Amino acid sequence: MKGWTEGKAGESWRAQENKVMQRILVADDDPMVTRFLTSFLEGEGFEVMTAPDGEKALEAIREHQPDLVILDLVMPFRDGFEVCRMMKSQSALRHVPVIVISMKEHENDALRAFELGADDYIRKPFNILELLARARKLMSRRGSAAASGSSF
Amino acid sequence: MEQGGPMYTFLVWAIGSFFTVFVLLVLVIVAMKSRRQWQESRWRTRRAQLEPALFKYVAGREPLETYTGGALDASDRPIVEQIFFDLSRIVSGHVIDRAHQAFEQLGFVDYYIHRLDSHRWWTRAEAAEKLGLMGSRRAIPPLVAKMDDLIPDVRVRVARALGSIGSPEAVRPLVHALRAPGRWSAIRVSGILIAAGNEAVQALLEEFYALPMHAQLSAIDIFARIRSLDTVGLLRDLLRHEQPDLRARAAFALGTIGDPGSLDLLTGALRDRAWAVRAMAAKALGRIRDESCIPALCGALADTEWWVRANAAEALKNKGERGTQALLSMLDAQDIYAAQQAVQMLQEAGVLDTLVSQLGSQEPGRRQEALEVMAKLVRLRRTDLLTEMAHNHPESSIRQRLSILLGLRLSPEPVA
Repeated sequence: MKGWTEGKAGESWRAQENKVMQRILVADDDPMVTRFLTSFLEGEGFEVMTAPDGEKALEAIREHQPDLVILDLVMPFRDGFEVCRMMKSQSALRHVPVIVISMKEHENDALRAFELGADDYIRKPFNILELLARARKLMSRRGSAAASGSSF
Repeated sequence: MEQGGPMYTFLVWAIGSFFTVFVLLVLVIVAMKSRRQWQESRWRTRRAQLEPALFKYVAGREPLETYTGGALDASDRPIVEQIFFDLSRIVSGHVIDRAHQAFEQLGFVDYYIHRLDSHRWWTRAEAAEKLGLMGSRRAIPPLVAKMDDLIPDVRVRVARALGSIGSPEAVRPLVHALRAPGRWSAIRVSGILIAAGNEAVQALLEEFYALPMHAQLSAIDIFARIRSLDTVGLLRDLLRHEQPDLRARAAFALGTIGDPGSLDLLTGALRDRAWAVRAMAAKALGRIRDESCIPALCGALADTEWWVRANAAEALKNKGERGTQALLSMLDAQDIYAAQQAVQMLQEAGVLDTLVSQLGSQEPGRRQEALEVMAKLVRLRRTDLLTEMAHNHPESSIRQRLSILLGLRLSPEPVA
């Protein structure tokens, strides 16, 4: 049974009652980013976890296996590059899609993150609707890959 | 000093007064600190209450009251402002448009427009800054009126605010400000226009020929920094202008933009009668990814002006393998200045180091190629690098070959 309403583009959809909410981890040392993205993504029907640094991000990823990680590159303890590299080097975490966030001036950082296995990147200040569209795309691709048994 | 005497009484009175003032000061400081901490705590609490509603507002489509329940009062203004300003650091697009709508709806724009008329300059400056952050187009006329403010700090913040708003009506007064170098720092105004981006380009293109020359020069620098392709047509026309300063700046800007369609014009500018134009044309050609200008750049290595030669050599260095070969071929040039400039650039590019190492190659052809270049350097009397390598290169075979070439009698081991 459909549990969502189809509306105009940009309107949120509601998860089906018996559908497990998709889980997103937001790893950023800027509390404003984590608070805003938590509010916005929860409003869009996602379960959101946050981590203020790379070390806690890795712990959360290992423990909760989120469906998507939104990762800031500049963080204390372990930066986003290190988190990305460690995720992609572990078979259990390799398939978790990662969107990295970088500052506008640091274009080369995004390229380096791609080399380390990031799936997408977005620059600050970012458009939240664009971020949402990219997040949904990555999670749906991962869902399709899991359903067909192929690697993502 | 006897107890009860006047001196004793005075001392007791003085110490008592000092102690009393000290205690009062401590109490005042403690009270002020407590009050500040209470205010900060209240601020944090109130911000934690307002943030979720405002986040939902900017992400949604309904009016602000739907999310806040109309529960905002005047004391919330600085908190609401700060939340929206913090959001503008991290997000863009319709979230910021929603924030701007809230500023209008809550009366913040009117509040700061009113404060633009304050008799305190710091209040006017702050108001200008906040109006810029709010992006209010309604604030443009009062901001433009404040561009004549007597206080420079106010004028600068007004200019920055107009640059932040960025609409054509906001940018045009900034373009006009370039006309008045006595009142406005061209560097500052240029920086603000550069940050405004394409809006500034359009306004400058429309007004360019009406500007005095010093402002035109600033405008060209702005075009170079913004690197808009819309300016290429004007810059190409300026390469034929009668003023050499304009021609030189236009050449530099075309190089910075990297427009390959201007290659022929820039190659022609290598023969300009003004050396500054030739120098900037050479620099520009080094920035455009096209190797067809290599022969013209080789010709510029023989220019009478050092700066032109240096820029031409630098440009050849940036042309990859073909440019390096062109520089090597210039070692045989009749013009001694051209040959010397080529040597300088080959040394800076590390080509000579590579050729010295090639002297130790197992292939006779490569060794011979390197020796031929070394011989040219000896003929040109540019042996400083070779002499150093003859003393210090880690490979003995290379040291030996260099010492023979240079006619030196050296120790078998490298000198530290």
